Amino acid sequence: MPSMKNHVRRYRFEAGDITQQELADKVGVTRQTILSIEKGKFKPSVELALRLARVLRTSVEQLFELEDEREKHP
Amino acid sequence: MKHLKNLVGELRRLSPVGLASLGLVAAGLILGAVVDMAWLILFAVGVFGPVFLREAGLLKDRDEFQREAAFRAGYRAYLVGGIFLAAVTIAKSWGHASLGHEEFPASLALTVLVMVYFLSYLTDYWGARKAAFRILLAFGFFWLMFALLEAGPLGLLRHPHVVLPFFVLAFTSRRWPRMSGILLIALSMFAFFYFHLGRGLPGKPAGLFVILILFLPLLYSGIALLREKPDEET
Repeated sequence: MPSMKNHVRRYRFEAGDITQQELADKVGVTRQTILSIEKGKFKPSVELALRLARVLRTSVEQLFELEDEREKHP
Repeated sequence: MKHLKNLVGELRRLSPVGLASLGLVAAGLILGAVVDMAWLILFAVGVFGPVFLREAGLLKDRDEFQREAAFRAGYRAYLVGGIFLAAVTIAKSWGHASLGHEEFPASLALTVLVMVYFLSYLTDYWGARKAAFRILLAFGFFWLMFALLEAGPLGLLRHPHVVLPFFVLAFTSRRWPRMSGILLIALSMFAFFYFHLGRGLPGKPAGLFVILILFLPLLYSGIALLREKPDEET
């Protein structure tokens, strides 16, 4: 089972240096949840992933990727 | 000092439900210990009320990460509580041919379920360091409360060996998790032998109760800190 990698932290900075708390407020979760997603400790639902992508002005595929996909398409 | 400020900030962000729950749990424990065990109803409402309302769909105050941590904690409480009660039932019924001979205080079973649930939830949601910090502070205040109730304002001076290690290790656990983890495990072993907790096993439920509220949080926090990977701090 491939593990999942995410770029939430990078896109958060690219979207204007928004803080974890601001992002959390915008998508309706706690700051600890954003922190856990960024650390790869928690895999969000499709709904939350879509909300994150919308707020960070990107797509879900840009935010999240399977680790072995990177090996196939470097 | 920074950790204390963060904690105060987090307490301020506690939802009204969380605050009410905390107040009910504390009031239930104090009144149950000092006045009448019937007041434990406040504790039960504080612990199970919000969970029941969430399950019934009447309270929607948690996000999906919190719900996942709560489900995992519930499963672990079921597993540990179930194994614990099965083991006690078997031990108490040893030598009998039918069920119903065992006598066991329900408060102990309740303590196992609630303790496993909350220790597990805190570790899953906050990560080892923050969880250990909160667990140790909570138990430090819990023991301080009983020391004050028993000996009045001089309670802390009469029982510093029960109260102070929780507070000191709460603060060192954030900065030096490995060292604190080792110290916590060593301290839990010391408490086990110093307070003769082994004598409470398996026949005396009172001894088991002390193990649960003194030995278990120390050991659990120590193991959680040692198991934490360096990049897991959240």
